[in-house]
Amino acid sequence: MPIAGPKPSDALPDDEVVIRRVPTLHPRADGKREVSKGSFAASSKSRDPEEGMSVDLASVLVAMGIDPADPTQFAPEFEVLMTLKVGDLHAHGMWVVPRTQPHPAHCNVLGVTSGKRKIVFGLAQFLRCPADVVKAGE
Amino acid sequence: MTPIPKTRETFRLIHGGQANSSMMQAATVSEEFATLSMDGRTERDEWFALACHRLAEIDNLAAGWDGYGSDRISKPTMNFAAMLLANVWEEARSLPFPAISPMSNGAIMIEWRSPISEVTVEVNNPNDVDVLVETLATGHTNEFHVTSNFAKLSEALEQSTKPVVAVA
Repeated sequence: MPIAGPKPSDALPDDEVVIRRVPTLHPRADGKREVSKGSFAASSKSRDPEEGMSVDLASVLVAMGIDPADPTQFAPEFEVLMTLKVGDLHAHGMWVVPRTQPHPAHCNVLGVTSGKRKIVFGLAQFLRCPADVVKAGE
Repeated sequence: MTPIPKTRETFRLIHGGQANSSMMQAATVSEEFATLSMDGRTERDEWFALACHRLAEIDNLAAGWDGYGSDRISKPTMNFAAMLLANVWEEARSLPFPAISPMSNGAIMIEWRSPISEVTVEVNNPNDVDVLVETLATGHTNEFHVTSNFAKLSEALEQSTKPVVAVA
């Protein structure tokens, strides 16, 4: 996993917000389901030589006329979406850069190492979430 | 402990594919569990069945499961995670059941949380495991790599059940 290094010239402005799709939930003994920090991992090197963590840029989705909070308009197969403020990620040395494949809103978060995964998890806020879903540790 | 739904098939420890030394060790562990089950379900059986159920859910994920084109989690990685869980059960049994999650990079994350510490295990591939132990009271972290010897991980899990002794 490469560290993020100096701020890239194409890093997004700090006031942008990105969305991470949360694919799996861990069932708990109390009947709730939880999101774990395992959901905040970079892609494998074989799929993405940059080893970035894929996210979707909210402002681009909105510009395309898509409300990301509405499951009929965006990522309908995902119960849970979480947002991250780009400025927060930058403050921890994880740069967010646009990578417009496979779609125009796609971005990479660089430098999400195992040591920083908990920071990312702590920064993430629910955008879309059923009532029985909580963050791990809550 | 969460009851295991009966409609899902339990994860099978050995899926075939390329045999290597870790897979052979997994086979040995599997036979040991089979023997234990002869006299009815033990605490260890219940714990491991729950772990295997969660691994089966991960095993059923199709390519692209994370919404960003990730591949399926490989069988050797699944098997190695199962073997690791079987090996550390003795120390892990006093801790809350771990969260087991697939990761976009093809790894499996296993997280144990206690009031004292968090032990995070990332099974990247067979014999390639990263461990991060965080002591919650101090924020101190300890990272190490594990191959096929889980003694250091077992020790970390055991320490997670012991209260922190204040140093004057």
